[in-house]
Amino acid sequence: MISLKQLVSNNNEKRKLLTKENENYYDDMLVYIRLKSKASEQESEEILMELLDHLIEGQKDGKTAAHIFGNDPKGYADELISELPKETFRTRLPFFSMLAGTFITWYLLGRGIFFLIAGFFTALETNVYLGTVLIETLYWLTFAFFIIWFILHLIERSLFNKKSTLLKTMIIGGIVGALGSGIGFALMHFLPNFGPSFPFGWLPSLASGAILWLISFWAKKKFTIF
Amino acid sequence: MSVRSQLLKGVLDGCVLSIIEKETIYGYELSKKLQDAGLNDVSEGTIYPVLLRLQKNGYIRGEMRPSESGPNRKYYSLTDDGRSALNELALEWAHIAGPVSELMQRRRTDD
Repeated sequence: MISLKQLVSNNNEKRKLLTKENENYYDDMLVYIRLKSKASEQESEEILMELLDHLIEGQKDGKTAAHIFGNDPKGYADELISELPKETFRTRLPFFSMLAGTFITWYLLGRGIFFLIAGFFTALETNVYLGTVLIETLYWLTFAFFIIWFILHLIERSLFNKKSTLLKTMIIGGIVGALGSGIGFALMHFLPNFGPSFPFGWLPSLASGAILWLISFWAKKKFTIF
Repeated sequence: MSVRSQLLKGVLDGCVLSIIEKETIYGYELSKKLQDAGLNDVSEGTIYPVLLRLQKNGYIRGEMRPSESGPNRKYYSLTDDGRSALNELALEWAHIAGPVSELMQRRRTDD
């Protein structure tokens, strides 16, 4: 079996062989299938590679992507996606946990560094309240997953469109992002402290971030998640 | 979609299986073989959803490996399940094809 990395890099190389017209057609299909496919990445990349190989061969005979795959790229891509095997939530769980882990790691590291530097200039309240922290973390994680899903959804909708809607897409993305962050900061500001509390200064923050980073580094290697 | 390609859709799985039964083959070659067999109306891309479906049903197995000419290709071969599905399809087709051609023939002679 050819590795996922190999497939993706081969794909990047081979796409350069396409004519401008065929490249436009294929690129939309590629992004759409990568975004929408519920199959494993390996399976998605294999079919994408087959389509690309076929297109390159056909191109030599003077055929265009529309000759080969039809005039409805989105419909064709949807048909392919519906025939690809679907991964269950369970097999996707490691991916989502890894994503959540990464967010928490960066938060802890960022917080640690901020507290370390800010500590030189002012006295800081380093106590954390378990209940409050739990709710805030849940909110930020939900928001992060939502914004990722939302941006992917916007990209997906902008594909196969003749007129570019990039600017509109970016503005909508920005508004939703600002709104969600605003609610998050308001929550952090107004949510009363509750639950057991303990001091959590820059050192434990940095240390726990580093430990989490090492764990996720090890898990990534072990389970080849990304 | 033309009447012909709608009719074809139902039997394309069988056509693809019967070609793969003869030899291990990759996508581009397969579409060539279908066209050579006279099925010019099958747009080439149509085979890929079919190939995915046949794989999902366990009728064929796809394997990426280097080809003689160099680049990696996904080669398809028939599984035991695929063979029995093909046998059944061929049998059913024989049951339908005879009577249908006869009916179509008869209406021409009636004119």
